Amino acid sequence: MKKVLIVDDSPTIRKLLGYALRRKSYMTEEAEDGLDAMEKLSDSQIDLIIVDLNMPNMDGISFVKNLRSGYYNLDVPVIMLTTTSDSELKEEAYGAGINMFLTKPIKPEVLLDKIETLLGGGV
Amino acid sequence: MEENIIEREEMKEIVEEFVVEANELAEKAIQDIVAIENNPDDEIVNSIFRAVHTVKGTSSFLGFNTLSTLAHKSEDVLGMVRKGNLKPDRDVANVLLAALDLIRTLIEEIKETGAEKSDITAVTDSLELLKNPSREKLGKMLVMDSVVEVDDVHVALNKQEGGEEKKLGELLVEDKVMTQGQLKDYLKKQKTQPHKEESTIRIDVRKLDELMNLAGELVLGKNRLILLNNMVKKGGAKNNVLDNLADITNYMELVTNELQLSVMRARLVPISKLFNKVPRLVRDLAGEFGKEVELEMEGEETELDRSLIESLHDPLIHIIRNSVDHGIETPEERARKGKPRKGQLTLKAYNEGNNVIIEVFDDGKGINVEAVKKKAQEKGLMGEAELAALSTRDAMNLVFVAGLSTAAKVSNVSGRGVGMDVVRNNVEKMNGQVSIDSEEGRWTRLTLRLPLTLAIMRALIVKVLDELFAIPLNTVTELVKLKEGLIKSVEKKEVLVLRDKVIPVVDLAKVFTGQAPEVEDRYLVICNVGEKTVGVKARAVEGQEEVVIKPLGTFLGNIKGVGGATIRGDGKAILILDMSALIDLFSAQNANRKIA
Repeated sequence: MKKVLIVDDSPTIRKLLGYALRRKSYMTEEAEDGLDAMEKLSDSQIDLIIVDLNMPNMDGISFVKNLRSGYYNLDVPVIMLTTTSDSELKEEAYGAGINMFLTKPIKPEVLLDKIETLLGGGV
Repeated sequence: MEENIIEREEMKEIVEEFVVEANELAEKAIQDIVAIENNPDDEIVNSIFRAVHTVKGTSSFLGFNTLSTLAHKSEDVLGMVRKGNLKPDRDVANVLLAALDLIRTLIEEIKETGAEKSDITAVTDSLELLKNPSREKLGKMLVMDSVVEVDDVHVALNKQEGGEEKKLGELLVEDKVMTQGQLKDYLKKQKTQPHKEESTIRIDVRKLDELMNLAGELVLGKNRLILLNNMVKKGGAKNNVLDNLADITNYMELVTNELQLSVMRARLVPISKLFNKVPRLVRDLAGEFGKEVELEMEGEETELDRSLIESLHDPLIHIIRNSVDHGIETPEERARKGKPRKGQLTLKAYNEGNNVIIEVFDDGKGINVEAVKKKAQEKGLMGEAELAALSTRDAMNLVFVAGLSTAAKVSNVSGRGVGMDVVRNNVEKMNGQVSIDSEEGRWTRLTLRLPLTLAIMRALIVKVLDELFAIPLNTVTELVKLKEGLIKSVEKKEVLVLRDKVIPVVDLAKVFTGQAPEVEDRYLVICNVGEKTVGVKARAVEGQEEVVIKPLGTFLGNIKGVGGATIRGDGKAILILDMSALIDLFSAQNANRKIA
């Protein structure tokens, strides 16, 4: 089973995505901000990350920058899921190394489709 | 949301989580807005922005579009503040606070009914007005309060631009689109919205661990009892069975006491939950009454039972209103008296034994004791001699008697026909006490004394007919042993004359069954709730006991005059009387009889 890390400061969003993902037989791990996500990454094998943009402590873009460089240097696929549709931020996020930029709200099945695409179809 | 991806039960859980989360975010943001108005700080502005942003994102995800729109508009304004394009002055803060209040209302609606009901156009219009640089302060506030339409404001603004020198408010009143009273009425309506008790609680993991630990100890005790039971059954070790039993009993007593304390502690929440709302309130009140107030709060970490925190909300707000409205003088008046222009309001909470004390202190004009006495005499509450014999302190505490508010001018908030008597009744309902102390011209201090918890209390166990009842001990003032002829009949009602006071006699049997019993009652329990004193007939008095209050459940929960039940040492359940409700019930029955 593939494991998805959900990084969002809203417990509601984490719960919502968690339910949807587990229904499709994904395992899930949750983190409440970028910093927390960094710790979770050191603890377990993650196959895909869904990350919010605006979070306390460490925001989504800084998180992805950290993820893609230096100590971590991981190429795990990242979906940025945010309420912002600001094109500058979107560009910045892609520059930082995300694989997909999606805006909230999103239907769970749409998100699940995208996840499957990124993971190459196999669960 | 599609049913096949997220099931209904899960959705319900998610919405519950959302309600808790969004409420916390909104409450935090409200506190922060009050803080930035006094002291603009980038980090705080950021934190408000993030909170509102999260509410927007989450609510849109769950399909709460009204909430999401409102949060979105608020976020836009906050974004301008964050970028330094908008100064977070009083007007901006007012609109943002109104928006957050509405956000909380919507969340409440979602919690109660699952749907959003409130109309947000008035508030979103005001938010839009803020984004417009040529905004007019008063107009915005009025639109926010739905007193006038945005168009009306624009008409008046155009007049001003055309050279009219009158102020916007004057123009609007001139145009007959509003009266001064309308605004006040609307504010009043907002402030009297009922306060609902929350039914979930967040608990410190350490407290939970402590409970788990004690539960473990309890299991050990149970095991020892089983062992002992087996030993007795087998007939072995006869000699030390009693010693063993005594030992286990001691152990169980220790553990259960500790468990009881822990559970009680788990229900305690810091009073900051209540105090946090005070800066906002004081700020609004000071603005409304033209006062300058410096607020100081101490002991916010003091803990209190959460149900008490909730019941304390209204009385505390009332006391603070009184202090700002009637206590603290206007800056001009203070300057004349040689006091600093800014009045001092201090809230203090601390523990004293098994009580929590809350003090509200203001350095305002204090209480005119002579005026209170005069009023009491006018109202015919006390004679001249009686008043003369009263100590200054006791005379001051007459302000808690209905109809004795001494404020010369009735104001919008404090003078709603609700006086300090209501505060006292509410506090006494919580088994608490309230008292006042003051030095005229200098200061007033109100002191609330509350029990740590409502779950356990001391009660007097009495027998009425053949049933036992528990009367909360804090209401009992004395016991009178009945003798032939002591109870007299006045207008067919039974009364007792006790030291020149006429006390109505309550026959519980009659109140509950409507029939007079054929038993001779030997005692009269004199009970005092608020200003009412009654004597309750009892056949016997069993004594004082510490009782654990158990709610009666939905079938029996609404019996008037019964506050709950408790289980005594012998395993029998008895009812606990709610004296306040009982006195009301008794008065009502008496009134009915008079008419018939």
